[in-house]
Amino acid sequence: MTTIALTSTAAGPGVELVAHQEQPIAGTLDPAEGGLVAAAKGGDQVAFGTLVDRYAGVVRRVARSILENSFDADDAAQDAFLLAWRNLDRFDASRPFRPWLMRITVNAATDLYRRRKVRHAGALPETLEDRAPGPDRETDRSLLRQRLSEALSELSERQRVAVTMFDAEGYSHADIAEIMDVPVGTVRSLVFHARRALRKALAPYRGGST
Amino acid sequence: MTDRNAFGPERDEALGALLHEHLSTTDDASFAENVMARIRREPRESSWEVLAGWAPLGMAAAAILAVAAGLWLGSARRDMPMAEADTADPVEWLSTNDPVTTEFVLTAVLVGDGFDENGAQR
Repeated sequence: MTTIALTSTAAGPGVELVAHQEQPIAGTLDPAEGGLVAAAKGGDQVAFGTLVDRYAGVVRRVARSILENSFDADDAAQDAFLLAWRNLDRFDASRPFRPWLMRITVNAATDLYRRRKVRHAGALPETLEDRAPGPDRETDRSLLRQRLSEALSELSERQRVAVTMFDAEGYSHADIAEIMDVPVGTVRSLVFHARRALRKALAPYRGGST
Repeated sequence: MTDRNAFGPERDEALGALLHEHLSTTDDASFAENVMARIRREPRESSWEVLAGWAPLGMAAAAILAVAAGLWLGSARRDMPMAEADTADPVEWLSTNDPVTTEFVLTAVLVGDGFDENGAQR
């Protein structure tokens, strides 16, 4: 675990975040996971449940990076797990499970995003609606989340998912390219532009140590 | 959050942590339980099981089709007007009741090769 201080310099708020390091990562083949996948392919719901427990967090985050709204994101994440379950017999168990699941997730969330796009046009970001007053530190965090939410809304869904998978989930450019079905250069560009926009938006909150 | 190696493989851990926290939602356990509840309502069958479920019906349908096709072909063949040539045995075309003599065969060959019917060269 890496502690990342976002303490401000002058006017900015003091916010400390802890970098969340989950199990790595996309393209590696975990033998224990291979056993779970093989059992699930055979119809073992308990084995599949273990996979759901293991990947619920990342699947929900990736879905949310595309959809922004947490309810829609959970719908897409559920759909992704169901699609994975229904199509497990087509999955090549000699390949890692996580990128396959991520690809299903990105597709499910993107589909839902396109269907919801018109309906949610103009809706306030969740963090603005939910925001409540609080102590200074909490207010600062709330402001940071609000600004981040706004900045994410201004990115394309492809930029959001690329930067989320790269910086927050630790996928390589190549893995993301495979998951998103785009060239690696496109992923680099998406991550670059997304980072630039987010950094600019969050500049008032930047910590000196980062 | 630095701008170094903007296209490089290095992660921006501060930005990643922010995104991670921002996108994380609570209660993954409840979410996972909801997913599994849906899955329990929709048990998955393998492709072979699906095929096996359809196999008896498919085989019965195939048998019925085969019988129907056989009957149809049979009746069509019976009703079809046939030329006499179709019914003649090919052997009949090659055989004759007349005895074939050596002279007959030789004449046929020699006349075609410049001899008259008596065998004299023309």
